[in-house]
Amino acid sequence: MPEKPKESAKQHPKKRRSKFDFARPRKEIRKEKKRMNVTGEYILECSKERTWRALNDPQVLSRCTPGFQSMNVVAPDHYEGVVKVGIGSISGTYKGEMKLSDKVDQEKYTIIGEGAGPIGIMNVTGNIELQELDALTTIVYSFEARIGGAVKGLAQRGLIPIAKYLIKQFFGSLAEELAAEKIENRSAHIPETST
Amino acid sequence: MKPCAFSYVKASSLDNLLAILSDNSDAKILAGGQSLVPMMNMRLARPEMLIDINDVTELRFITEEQDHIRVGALTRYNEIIESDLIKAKIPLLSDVTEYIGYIAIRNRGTIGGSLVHNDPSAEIGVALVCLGAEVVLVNSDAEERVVPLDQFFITTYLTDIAPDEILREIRIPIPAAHSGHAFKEVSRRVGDFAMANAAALMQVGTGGEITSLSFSFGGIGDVPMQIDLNALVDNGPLVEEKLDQAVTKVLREIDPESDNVASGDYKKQLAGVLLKQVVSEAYDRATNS
Amino acid sequence: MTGEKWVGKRLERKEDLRFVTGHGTYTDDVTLPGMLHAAMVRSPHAHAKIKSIDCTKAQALPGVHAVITGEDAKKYWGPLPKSVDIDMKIPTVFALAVDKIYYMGEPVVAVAADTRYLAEDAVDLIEVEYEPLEIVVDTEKALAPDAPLLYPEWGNNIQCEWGMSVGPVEEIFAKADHVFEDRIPHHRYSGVPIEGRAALADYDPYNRSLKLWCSTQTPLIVRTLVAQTFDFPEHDVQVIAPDVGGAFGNKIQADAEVIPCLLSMITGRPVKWTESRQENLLSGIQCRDYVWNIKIAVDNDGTLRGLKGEVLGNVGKDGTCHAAGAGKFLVACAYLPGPYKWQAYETNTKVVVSNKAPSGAYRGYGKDIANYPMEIMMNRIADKLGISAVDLRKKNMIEADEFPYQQISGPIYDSGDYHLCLDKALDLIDYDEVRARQAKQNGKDGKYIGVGIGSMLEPSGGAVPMCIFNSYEVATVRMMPEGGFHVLTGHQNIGQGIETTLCQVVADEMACTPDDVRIIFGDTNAVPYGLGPWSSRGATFNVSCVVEAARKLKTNLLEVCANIWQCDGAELEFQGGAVVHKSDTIRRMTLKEIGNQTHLFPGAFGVVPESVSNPFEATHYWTSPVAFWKPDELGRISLYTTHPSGSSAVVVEVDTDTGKITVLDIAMCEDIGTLINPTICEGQVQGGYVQGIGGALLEELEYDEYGQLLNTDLTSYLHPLASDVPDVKVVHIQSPSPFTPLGTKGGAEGGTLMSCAVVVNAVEDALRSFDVKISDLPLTPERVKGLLNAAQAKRDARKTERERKTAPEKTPVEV
Repeated sequence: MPEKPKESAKQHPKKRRSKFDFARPRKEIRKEKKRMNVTGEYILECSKERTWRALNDPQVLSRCTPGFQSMNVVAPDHYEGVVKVGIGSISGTYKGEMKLSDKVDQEKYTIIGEGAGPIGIMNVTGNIELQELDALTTIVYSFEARIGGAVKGLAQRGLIPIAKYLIKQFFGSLAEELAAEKIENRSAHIPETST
Repeated sequence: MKPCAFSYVKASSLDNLLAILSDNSDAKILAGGQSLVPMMNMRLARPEMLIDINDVTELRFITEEQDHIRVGALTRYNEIIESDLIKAKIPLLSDVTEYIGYIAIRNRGTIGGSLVHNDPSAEIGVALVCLGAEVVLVNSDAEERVVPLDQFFITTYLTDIAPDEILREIRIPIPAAHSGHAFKEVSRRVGDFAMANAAALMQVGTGGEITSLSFSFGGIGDVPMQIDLNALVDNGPLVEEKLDQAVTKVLREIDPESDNVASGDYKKQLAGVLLKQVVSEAYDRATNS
Repeated sequence: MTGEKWVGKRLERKEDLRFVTGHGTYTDDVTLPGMLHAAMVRSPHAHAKIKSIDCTKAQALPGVHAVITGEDAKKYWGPLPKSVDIDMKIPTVFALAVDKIYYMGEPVVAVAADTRYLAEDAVDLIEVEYEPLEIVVDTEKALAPDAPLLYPEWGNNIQCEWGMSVGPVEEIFAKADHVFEDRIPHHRYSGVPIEGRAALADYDPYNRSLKLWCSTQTPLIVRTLVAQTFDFPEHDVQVIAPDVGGAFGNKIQADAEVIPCLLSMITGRPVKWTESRQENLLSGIQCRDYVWNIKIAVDNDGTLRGLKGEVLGNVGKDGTCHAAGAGKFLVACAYLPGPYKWQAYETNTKVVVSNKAPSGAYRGYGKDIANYPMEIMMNRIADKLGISAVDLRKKNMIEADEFPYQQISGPIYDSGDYHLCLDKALDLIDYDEVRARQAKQNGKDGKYIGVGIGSMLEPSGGAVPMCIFNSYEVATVRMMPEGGFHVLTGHQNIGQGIETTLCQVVADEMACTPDDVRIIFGDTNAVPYGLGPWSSRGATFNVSCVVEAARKLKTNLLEVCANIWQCDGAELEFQGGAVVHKSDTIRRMTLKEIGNQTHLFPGAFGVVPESVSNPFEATHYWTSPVAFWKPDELGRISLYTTHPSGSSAVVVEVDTDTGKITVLDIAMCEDIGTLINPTICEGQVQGGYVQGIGGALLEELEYDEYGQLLNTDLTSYLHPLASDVPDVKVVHIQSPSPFTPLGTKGGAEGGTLMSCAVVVNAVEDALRSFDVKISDLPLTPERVKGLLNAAQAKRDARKTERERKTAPEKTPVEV
């Protein structure tokens, strides 16, 4: 919801304002709103065209998604499925939907995912963008996730590291898929950054 | 809240444990239960089977070898605190264990359980990384695997233990005589999970120069992490200016994540404060011993 | 009357034996044959429409006996009834969500199963589809014109608005030497008692009755509210409150407690619900959460002239039907003036709803809300005027000889010596020594000491119209044939010791010992209608009606004895467990003898004169002699009976490297009138003060902007532990109240309601050289460090600016 401009401070009825007035305009002194943001890059030895094809293929996406259980296609670029997400002792089975949108062919798209399970709800928005240089394709990704429900609290500390780990697993599997399609078996990885 | 249904079996010995595990690699091990059981009660963890290993006495020991001490995975925190051997040979380990939770937790919690759970600021993990410890894993085919601890920790709550393996023991190199050690942590209340902590172990030569230095942070990275402070080694006596330079360098290199415990910026500030305090204290101990 | 006096004695509590040996009976300890267990599906969203609910898998699970949604529950119950209605909008809300949910954790579906484990398994199998709506959690955002609305029919998110204005406000503000103004927020947290909510309902269709065991402060009120919710005859409902493991105001409603009643009606079996800690934090009663805008007009010499205060309060989903949270902001407006004298006062409040759990009462109920900004402002104003914080208070406090004093906002303060309390508190903390230590040690190792002071008013014995916090109490004192006593009271033991203190009171009146008296409470079939412990009513309303009832019975028994001895009642008195003749001491009849004679041997006809209406028991209905509901000529009302007061001081140490705050020393001097049991009174201060420290340093219900409660367990919602606070030094002075028979005033909230401000004052004092001003709480180490960093950045910027201005002109160099 766009922020409305704040009401200007009420005019003080007193004409003479004391130099000791210490009213201050209201600042946002709140805690930094923490959203889970994970951004990074992954380099594949593969053409942009083949990478793009793989990233739009629901079968490939299913195979690469860690914890994938089942999926069905609702409409083009709109999928429903069940995913078991977790690390160590903590895991949850999420039923959810994923949509690919804002596609610019061979360049980028936006992922919007929503899932619900017994231990919480999950909303993910991601942007994937491809850049090609020589025979390498760099996938630049940025994900923003919102986790709600009981999974917060005790498990909060692990959410970002676990998300990063799962994303690494996804791209690792993708690289293997593409390599198995008769491309040379090498991929480099540039360390991620996150905010 | 109440946990989901699970089946429960109690292992009577190490062999028995490994046999059960080979048939049930999805099972979770129940040792002290101080991390696992709350997760189960909140239904965040839903193991189908629990294997209770509290009767597997072969996993509870503290023994001295030539150059290292072996601690069985089922050793309770309080047993570590009360061990004269560890107090004498690896005082860093005794010291940090006092910071873990409260006495009730220390009576039940085990060193192996803590390492496999892998909380980013677990005091035991931080100290053992600083000490250069390694873990011994054994699987249901009785095959052993020795893994240095810093490689054993993959990411928060995830370690390099296979579903059919158990952590059998921890091997901790005995620090040289006259080593200096220190540990400090910043937590909200006494006994809480640390926001950040740090451990240091060093030797100091006759001229007051640091001859070896091992340092680790907890709560700063996604797992307890070693920090390279070699700039301070063989570099003359430790003075404030050098220490400040080392702090500045380290703060440039680390990039802590913001989470519900603290923001990345604040963790960085704590890291700087802790590094200075812990290295200074270890140095004082080493030069006065 | 002569003999041993029990009021004022440090008696060990009678109830402690069962508590400390683990033999108490709490609601969860009660088991009934055939009992089932309840669990609920709780919404993960903070604001959403319910699209569909699929219970088929849950219903098919073996061991599950009932699964019911909010929509289906309407067959059995109506909306939750209001508990306060003063200029309030009453929403239509149900204990199980219907169509829409309003906060994360709100119950949506209820399940009854053989065990709690199975009930939770069933909950896991229930699929609810939601359509998320826009969320609003922040108070000021909820007031914005385009804010998402919880109740669209209201047109806004304001549940209640109220205000008053007394005196020539604009003139005073125009004339004053200074006007200080500030915005002072306070965060959301709650009482978090060790025992959460628990309810065991037993609907018996054969007896046409509903029996409810319930962990509550107010069994009678719960009975009424439950009857209203189900439109069930109230006289067929019985509420039993066994031992209560802490309440602090959090248990004065019938909210989720009606859910096991519903399940019992459906299954025909007893159903128990014991909430988990997660449920307690998520959907239990929450408190505080407000923003003040304060303006104070004051002269150069520190004389306070005028006060303007607007408080915006956030009650979450609702502040009247789920629990009576809205009323506290009206109390806050009535008491912002505090213990000081003013010439003009203007106040108003907007009570706002938002997507958070409902708000109720917690130790303070508005008196804390009034105290917090005032005590912080007093210290800041003192600093700006160059006057000591102590002198500023003393200059403006009501004097001991001015009582009874009617405060500008209407309430009548009974008695006190505010100056003496302040002096004693400073003495107890050894104020001069702390200042000396501060001067010597500040800065060493980055540590700074600070001392904060504050004063408080603790209005007690509330009597509020149109509200469950109403205006009376009734007690019966009954003597048995064997000479022992029962006191029947609608009050409840929630840890404040009434099983001992009321015995002390009766023992004094009847010249027996506390062991001769038993307090009967906690069973609505056995006691008169009483409103329970809140607003420190025990020592005001409850003690007063018990004393008066005892005195009535005494009068009757004296008449019986006078009749037996054929003498004048005035010649007799109670002494040493008997009635004796004042001059002819041979004439002596023990209470046991009187009891036997009047009941059985010979019996009433033989000894009781016609003038005595009842020789066995007496009942007294007591109301506040000083509260009034009819507005006076200035439009003011007065709702509280007595006004305990006090001052305290806290010493803290701030580690400027990490931002961590350690509390070093605490001292409080309190005036709560006559003390019945000094040890209990001191215990109230110790526990209460620590709760306020929790609010200042540790506790917070952290909602993010999506209405997600981030901390739902005690590893992330932090309470103070014994290792975190020093002993609280307490001393009492006693200015008896002229308005209660024993001069008692009540005093359980004093520590809590002022300690937050005192800690803030202490931290600002410690960091004075850094020019740090506290705004948001709790003062986590990170927040304190952030304030220090910001202050440092400002100083650096100013330094750079100064250097830039004084730097010599640089001659450009050609390259």
